Amino acid sequence: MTLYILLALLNGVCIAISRIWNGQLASYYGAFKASYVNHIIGFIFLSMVMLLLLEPPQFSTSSNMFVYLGGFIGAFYVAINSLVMSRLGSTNTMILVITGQMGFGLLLDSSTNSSRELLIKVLGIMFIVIGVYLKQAIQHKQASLAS
Amino acid sequence: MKSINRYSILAIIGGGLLALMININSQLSLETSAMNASWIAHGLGSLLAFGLFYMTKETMDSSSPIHGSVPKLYYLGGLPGAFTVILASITVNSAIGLSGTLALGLIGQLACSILCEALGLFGLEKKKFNFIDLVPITFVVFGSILIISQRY
Repeated sequence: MTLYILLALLNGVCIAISRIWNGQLASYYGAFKASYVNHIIGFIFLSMVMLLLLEPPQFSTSSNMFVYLGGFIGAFYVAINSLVMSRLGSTNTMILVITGQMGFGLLLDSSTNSSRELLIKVLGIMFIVIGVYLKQAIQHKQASLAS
Repeated sequence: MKSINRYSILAIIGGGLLALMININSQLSLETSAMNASWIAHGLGSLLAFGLFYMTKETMDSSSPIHGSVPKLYYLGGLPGAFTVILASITVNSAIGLSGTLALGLIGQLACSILCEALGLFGLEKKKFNFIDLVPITFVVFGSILIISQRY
């Protein structure tokens, strides 16, 4: 369990660094070109690692093609995000995206198995959303004080 | 107001799609391996990302982005991105589950962005660390503890 907690925290660090670098690239080239570079670099990198480790490419064993949707969703999200961001600003977008992500994540999470557990998880999500809101509010305040 | 609501809903759906994406990729990793799932997701994602880039090429060129040379490092966002899918595939299929993966991932993201801003890394504007910055992350940590506490 402790190992998985550490891996999940490390995952967040990877997401943050990936987003910062990609965001910087997007400020030069726009969101869509940056997204393409991001995906193709990740693909080339993984291809090289798999070659080095002699890991053969494997594909889904079931006939369910649904499992291949993940990659498309990731690229499609960039379009939604840049559309929403241009209308609502980054603060609102961030809060709403996290709310949707945590809420829908809870629906999909098959590991929840009692109503008490569900209730506590909903409470946890509320704290997280408040935290994200505060982070954005503080950032906004500091930015307006600085200018 | 009406259009703001419409975009708000779209933002929430966008977040929901991200959760679905992580869930699907971790399902794929069960049938193959975590690395394979990340490889397939990036390969297929590249195709759609290229399509979107190609379709928006004209409109993007006319809007003037920053000019000048880009630091090479910023091209490498795909490297941590590749690890993201691998790590999430491992943790979603563990006792932490999808909600735990998402919640703990947020802690990592917030902590990392506070650190990068405090040190002024990666071209971010250097911001002096303030103890008030710890308030939001405290909420997120507490919420995450609530979520994963149910797995013990």
